[in-house]
Amino acid sequence: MFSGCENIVKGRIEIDKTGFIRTVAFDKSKENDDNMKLTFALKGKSGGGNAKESGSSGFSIISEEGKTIFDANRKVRTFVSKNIFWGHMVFILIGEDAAKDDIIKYLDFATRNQDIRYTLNVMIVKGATGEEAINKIRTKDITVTETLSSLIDNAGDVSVSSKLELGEIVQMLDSEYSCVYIPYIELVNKIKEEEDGKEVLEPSLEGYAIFKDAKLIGYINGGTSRGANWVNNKGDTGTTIVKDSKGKDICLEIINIKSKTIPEIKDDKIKVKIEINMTSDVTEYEGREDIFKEKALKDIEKQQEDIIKNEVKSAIKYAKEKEVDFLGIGDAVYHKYPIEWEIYKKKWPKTFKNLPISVDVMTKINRTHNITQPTGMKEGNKK
Amino acid sequence: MFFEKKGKDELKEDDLKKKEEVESKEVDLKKEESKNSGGKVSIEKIKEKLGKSVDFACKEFYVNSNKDLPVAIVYINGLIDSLKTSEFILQPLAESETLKSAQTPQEVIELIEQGALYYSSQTKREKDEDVIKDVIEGSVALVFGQEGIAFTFDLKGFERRSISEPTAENVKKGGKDSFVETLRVNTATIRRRIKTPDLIIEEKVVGKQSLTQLNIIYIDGITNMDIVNSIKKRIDELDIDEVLSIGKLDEHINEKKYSVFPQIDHTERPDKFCTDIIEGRVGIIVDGLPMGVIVPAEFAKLLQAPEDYSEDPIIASLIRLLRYFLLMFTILLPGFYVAVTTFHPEMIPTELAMAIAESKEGVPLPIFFEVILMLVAFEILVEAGLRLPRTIAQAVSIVGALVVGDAAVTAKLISPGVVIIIAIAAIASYAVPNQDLSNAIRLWRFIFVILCSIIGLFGLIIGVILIIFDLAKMETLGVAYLEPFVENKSMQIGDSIIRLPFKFLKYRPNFLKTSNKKRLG
Repeated sequence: MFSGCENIVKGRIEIDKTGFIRTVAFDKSKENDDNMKLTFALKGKSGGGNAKESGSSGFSIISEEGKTIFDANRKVRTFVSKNIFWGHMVFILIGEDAAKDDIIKYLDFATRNQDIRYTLNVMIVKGATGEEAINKIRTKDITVTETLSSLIDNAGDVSVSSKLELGEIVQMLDSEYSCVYIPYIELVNKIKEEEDGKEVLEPSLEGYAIFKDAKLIGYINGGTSRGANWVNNKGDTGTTIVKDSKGKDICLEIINIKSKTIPEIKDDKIKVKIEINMTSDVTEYEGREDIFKEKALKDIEKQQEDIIKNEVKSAIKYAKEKEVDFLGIGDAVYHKYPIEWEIYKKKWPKTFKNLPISVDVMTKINRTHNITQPTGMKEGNKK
Repeated sequence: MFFEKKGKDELKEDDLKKKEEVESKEVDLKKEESKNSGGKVSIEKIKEKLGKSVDFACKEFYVNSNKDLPVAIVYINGLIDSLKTSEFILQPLAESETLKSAQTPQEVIELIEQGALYYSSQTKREKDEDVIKDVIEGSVALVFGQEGIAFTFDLKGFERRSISEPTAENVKKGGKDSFVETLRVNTATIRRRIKTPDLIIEEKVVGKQSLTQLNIIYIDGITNMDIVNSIKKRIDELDIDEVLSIGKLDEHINEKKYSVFPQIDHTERPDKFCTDIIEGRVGIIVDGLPMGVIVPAEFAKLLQAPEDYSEDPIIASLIRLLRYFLLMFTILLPGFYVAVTTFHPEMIPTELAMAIAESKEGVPLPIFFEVILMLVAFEILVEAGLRLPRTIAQAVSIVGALVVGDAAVTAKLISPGVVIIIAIAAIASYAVPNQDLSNAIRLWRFIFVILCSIIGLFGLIIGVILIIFDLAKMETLGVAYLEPFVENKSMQIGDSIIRLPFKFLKYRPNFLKTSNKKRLG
């Protein structure tokens, strides 16, 4: 009866005819250097073509190459029965090859399309293509998107990486003097498990991929990327391990950390001071000493200060070596000295390389959680 | 032959008409005579008018068995209390010592006027029409044919329903009585609640055939007389055969006749009725209808329930806010669902969108048709439930809602999302205290669904603009429908979307333009 009424109104698409995609991978084609490859997982039956059913979760993974991303997207529609809807996209994974090629080329579609939101997250896949990531990440009882979301949500716990939205990345790409850093994932096999005889991997959020002129030049991780996070105020919490007088480990949890980049121009010379204020709690202690004495605390604070300072310095060292200002120092100078900046702007990478940057860390240990003195502390040590 | 016969008939009819005209002229002349000569009531005239009906009773007898004093008693069987009639009228006429002294009919009339018959509501009538009117309303008439004078005694004694609990408007705290069909019982209930002598109960008779009594109730010194006068004027203008259903009155009082939104409030609760009258509104009670009509009723008033005034102000305010929220919910939800699922999938959270898409998979109809289908099905259930006997209605709603609904979902004719949405909207619509308003909203719900199915959320916004336009241009008896929200001087929000403690509600609603503005102090 209603078969004639299917398309009375233009622009009406029934929700069950809409294919929601949440994680999408942009890659460089392996066959043709000029082509781009689009990969995504689609829920439900989606027709023939290159689609293959993966696992029991009812997702099929669809890949298609095209001259551009949009071209590939249109080609997908020739064999997928659903209307691809980009509005719910949360993750863009970019393969290493594509990142080395030119990231702007790949992100342009995402920034131009009206459906795609600027709040989605962009990630680089280290040492693999995005397609591989989507194919190999475990999907038995949790989708790729959910796995990646939890990684991003937990990023603050270790502060080696962070959530970066498409909007922020575009802003960095637009800036003439600062360089882009994008969180990267590495495919690891920490949870030993197989899925239908197929090797499965887990994504691990390790640090940042560093870009210069929109091309990938390297990765930072561990302390270096933590240092970058402290400077960029992207870090949340983390742990530092210090030692007591007898060489036993004390684990400190960073509760609060804030940094401030203060540039100063004196006699046409720029000096930059990075001030970091932090507080931390003692969460674990291996020894049996009473470390909550002024002297011991001072010592612990000093050690922590050094750790943080070293991390920041290592980030600065990396930035200076590669001449990439991903620490927002150029920004800080511009905001404080907008007129003088015009002079420094053009030769900023060179200036940045020889910029004297000093790091000040103010650290304070606040609390000790439930107990002050360690269990089993000898009476004699109490004095 | 046939035609000739008909022609003759017509002629006869014409003759009859002429005769009637002559007669009526004679009657008119007689009336004038009677006016001049001071009273001309004749039993023959009364018999001629009423005698064709079986329930008419006329009995002629003599006062104290004195053949010089003939008198007739006239009444309608079933309307009067026969016990009282024989006790207070017939017995004194036959046995009274005072009346024994009377020798002429004039003397009897004088004695009755002086109280020989000890019944309180006694009226002396000198015209046939008045007597007939009284008799029809349930009086017993004592006609002195020779003198052309009659006495009518209000001895109504017909079967009436006793005051029972309200059926549609139940409240936890509050009076348990309700209006009944008998007008005087209702006015008595009101008098018992509003004892000020300023309470005015004015009577009008409407309906050419039904001659229904209708009382306009207001408080002198509070109510804005402009409202009272325009109601009276409109009731006088009412040219109608009968007022046996309330709509006949409503439609005439309504200023804007083509809006589905009610501009008049009805209640079966005397306490609510009285509160509104004291607030400065005008009440109308119609004989034979167990409800009070309150005019003017603005939008905010229709969303107030009597409980609001017996609950804690904070609770009452929250419930009112909830009611406004649910009102919007029930109007907009089905349309919104159609809009977001067919035009704006980005508006739905991803997980939910995927869940909806999954449940919709395999359902042949577009969501728009599903929603319309379910809304119509709901209306059918409501209508069927109203018509059927109460016991069967329950079974029908169970079969309709549970069995058919569940089967339709299982058979993938309707997606479960739509069923949930319509169920929520249906339940929400019953949170509106006024049933007429709820009906109006149910109609608008369809308009919203259709608008949304054409242009999505833009349609929703257009619908909202249309509904506000419709509401904003309405006015009843000089009171804007969207009061107090459109008041430009001092918006009395205190008793609208919230209900403040009574000590803050110092003034009567200013849009009613009451003569006495202060409620407190």
